[in-house]
Amino acid sequence: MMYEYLVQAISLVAEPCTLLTILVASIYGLFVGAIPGLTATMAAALLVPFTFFMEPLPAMAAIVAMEAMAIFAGDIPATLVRMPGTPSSAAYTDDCYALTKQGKAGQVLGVGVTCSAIGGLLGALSLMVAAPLLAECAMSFTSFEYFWLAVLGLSSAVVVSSGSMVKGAIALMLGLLISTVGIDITLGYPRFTFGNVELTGGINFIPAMIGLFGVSEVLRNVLHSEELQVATSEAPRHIFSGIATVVRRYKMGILRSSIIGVVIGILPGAGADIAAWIAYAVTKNASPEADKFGQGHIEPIVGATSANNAALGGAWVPALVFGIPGDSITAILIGVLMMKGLRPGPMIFEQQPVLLYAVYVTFILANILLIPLGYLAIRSSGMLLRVSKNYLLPIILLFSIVGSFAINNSLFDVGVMLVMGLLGFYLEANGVPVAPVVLGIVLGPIVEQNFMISVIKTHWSLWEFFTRPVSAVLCLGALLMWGYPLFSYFRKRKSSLSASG
Amino acid sequence: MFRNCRCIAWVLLLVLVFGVVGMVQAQKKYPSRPISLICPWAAGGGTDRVARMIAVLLEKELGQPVNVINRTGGGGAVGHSAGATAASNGYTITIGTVEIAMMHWMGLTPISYKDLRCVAQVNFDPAGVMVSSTSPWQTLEELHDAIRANPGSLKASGTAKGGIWDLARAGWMQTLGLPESAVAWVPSTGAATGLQELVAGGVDIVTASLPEGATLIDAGRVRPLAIMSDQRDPLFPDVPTLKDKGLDWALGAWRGIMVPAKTPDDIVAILEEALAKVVASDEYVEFMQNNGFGVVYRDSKAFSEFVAEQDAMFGKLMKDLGLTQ
Amino acid sequence: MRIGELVIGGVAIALAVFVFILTLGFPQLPDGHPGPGLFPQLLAIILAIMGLVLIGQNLSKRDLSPGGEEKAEGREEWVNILWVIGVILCYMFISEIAGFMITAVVISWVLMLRLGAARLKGFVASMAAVLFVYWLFSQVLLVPLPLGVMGY
Repeated sequence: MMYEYLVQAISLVAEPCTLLTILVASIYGLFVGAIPGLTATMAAALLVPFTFFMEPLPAMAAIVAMEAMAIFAGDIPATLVRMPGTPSSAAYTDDCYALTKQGKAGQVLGVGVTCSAIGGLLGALSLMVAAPLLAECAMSFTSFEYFWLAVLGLSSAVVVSSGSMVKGAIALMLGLLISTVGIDITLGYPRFTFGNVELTGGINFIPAMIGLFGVSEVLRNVLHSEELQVATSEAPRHIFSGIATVVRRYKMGILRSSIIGVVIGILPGAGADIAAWIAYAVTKNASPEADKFGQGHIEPIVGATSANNAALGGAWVPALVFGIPGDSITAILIGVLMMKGLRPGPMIFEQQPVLLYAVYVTFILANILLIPLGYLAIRSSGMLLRVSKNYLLPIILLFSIVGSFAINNSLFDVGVMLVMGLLGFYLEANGVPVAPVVLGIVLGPIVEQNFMISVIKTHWSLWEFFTRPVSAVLCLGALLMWGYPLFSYFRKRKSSLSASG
Repeated sequence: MFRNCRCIAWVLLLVLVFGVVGMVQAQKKYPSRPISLICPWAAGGGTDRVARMIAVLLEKELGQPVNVINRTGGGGAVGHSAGATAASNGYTITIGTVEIAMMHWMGLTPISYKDLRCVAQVNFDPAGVMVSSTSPWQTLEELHDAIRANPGSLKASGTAKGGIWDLARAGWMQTLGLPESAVAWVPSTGAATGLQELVAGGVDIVTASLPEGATLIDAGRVRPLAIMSDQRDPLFPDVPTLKDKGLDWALGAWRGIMVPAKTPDDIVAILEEALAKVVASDEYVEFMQNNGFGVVYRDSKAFSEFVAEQDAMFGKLMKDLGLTQ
Repeated sequence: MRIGELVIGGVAIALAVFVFILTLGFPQLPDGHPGPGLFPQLLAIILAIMGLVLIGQNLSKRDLSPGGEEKAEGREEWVNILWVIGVILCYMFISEIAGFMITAVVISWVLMLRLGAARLKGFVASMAAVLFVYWLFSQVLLVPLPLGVMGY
């Protein structure tokens, strides 16, 4: 029966109209993903009016193709100009950019596109096979589990940050404090808004990210006037050279990261961006070359970029099975499905099996298409880099401004971008990493809200944080993440002591 | 370093010239250029979907593109403020939500419904009473008995503290003659997270509107016990209203198109006429039904009166709850 | 000892104290438990401790070398930074009046000139970039860029 559905599904997807939709949506996704400030979520929202006029399958296929492309495309500006195109690339932006400075932009992007495709395919497979099973497990997650999950993410920030732990912690605290600006969930009290209405909405994370990564990079560049006349770096070349070696060498890493990605994607409220962070930290903890991370090493890129694409497939699981979105894109997907009179839920598996299989087929097709289309995108992006910096920097700044503006159509956000740019510039000039600031802004609300919700639920009894089974496992995971570097540090120290003594 | 000064002067002159030309051009019949529709809630949410549908249909009526702009944050405060302080020329309209009648009481924004002119109401969704299907309560009476037996032990969720579904819960308790603390409120970031807590056993009741829980109701995970409305919902004809159960309490979320207060009458009239057609159109009705949203239309005058009533009601309720500033 | 790190440590402590004082004015939950203020207070305490540690680490280092990269930048280069800040502020204040197209061309061209680009080439480059951005955001992605008084 499954085979029958699959054949029917393939013939549905193979219709010229559907194929064309997939192609157009892919190109659209590549564009949007490559432009800082335009997230895949926003791209999906912009697709909605078009899906009004589409059949259900092309509408879903458009979203699938678009998101797969967009999440990879976010790596392109991250690598070339140190501006993550989507938040999902933020975790490993510094690694990519460091490699670009060594003239390896081509290889980075080649690895990026290949691993994204592999991660995406693994995500699609797990969506096909394990959807109902995995979703059932995720349904039992409550605020306790989300709290620990976010703590796990925060711990990864400190593990991820290169150099001084103290500086990483300061950066994280700054990010978390920034995230507390705005309306509080427990009483609806406006915090640190100083009477400003824009601030009641909090500090928007997209302009903050563009400022911290992109604008600070522009500022640092204009400080060195002697370099302004030269091009930023060589255009990406040798995109797929040595790719087989990298994939073979890190095949376990890719598998592990993809599994992490799928699991995080399935959890409602945590998507590709958090998957990338956690995969990065896990890769770092498991790697024998952890000291190279953050300074231009391919391994973390391999891990994190497979994870964020794998998360996409995962996020569809709870969306299809229970109508609970796994991330913000699937939230939009549910809206689109409802508009078509398809109510996601267990019933859809019985009523529309062919449609579901067609979605799986699209997922696989989109991830295969990612390789040639991604290649073309990388090649054309190279043009940008043959321009010398005194032309390029103002154009990057222009994109930063428009990108910050576009997410919420607010000039206030352009101001946020400027302030964050200056902050990032100063912090980096003194060796404080900016990545933890970004993570703090993302995870701050999740940590705080779930903590407050939990304690209000249990009348301030903290026991349930440790006694609920899944909670306990996640708590243990967080402890391990902290414990492992410390443990290996002491072991190294002990062995070096005994060697010298 | 001053070698470029002359260039810059030229550019500034150019700006000036274009400015004057543009001013002259602006005097045309409304609408002569694209309209922005501010949505105070995030892309993909319920209000956003309604806004995008209206934008598509309004574009057909008015012959000009209507672009949805998401101005999110502050529980709707940012978007409503942006809508109220925009130029009163009809080119920036806002999809106002029930929060406009609530936020100013909490001191979140000085903006109230008085800063906006109501053009037309397009939707109304009553609050519901939903419990987990694993709970022992089959009817509303059984739930009431459980609440009376152990006041304060049951927990409800669905929005942040002071949000629309929290107020629905509080009013429901008041109407039962119980203190509002008889059912404790657990804040959540929205109906979806509240429902997730309900299914996972974190809370006992969710007071969001039934369509928000429709997928879980269909999946047999959530049991709807009542809606807080005067009439039954045609999508859930078996679910009784509070009125059926002898309780005089109705509350719900509504959405409508608003413009800045000083917008001239002729522009409001053009928009009102177009929206009346939009809301009556088959596409709109079908879309709303598929999404589980209730279609309720009120024209400019009736909508203004309705909003004023709602505002006074929320003010009193929130004062009782100690939420006002 | 690095002056920059001392400054960061000092600012961290000052910020922590400031945040803490502000949170004292936050309301509590009705049952008397801490509410909106709890999380910022915890963060402020950790931030202050980290600030102290950073200062402590620096003071305990005996070498008094300036540290960090050698500051080879002259005054002109720092003025570049001010120009970048200037054009962003400029965009924030005039784009609503002059419209996106003109503002964007002006700021990117002015900045290119400041960074030493050729006059005509710079104009053409900024024109091309702005048209591309306009087409992409405004036409393809339907982001309403500021129109200004004349509508583009």
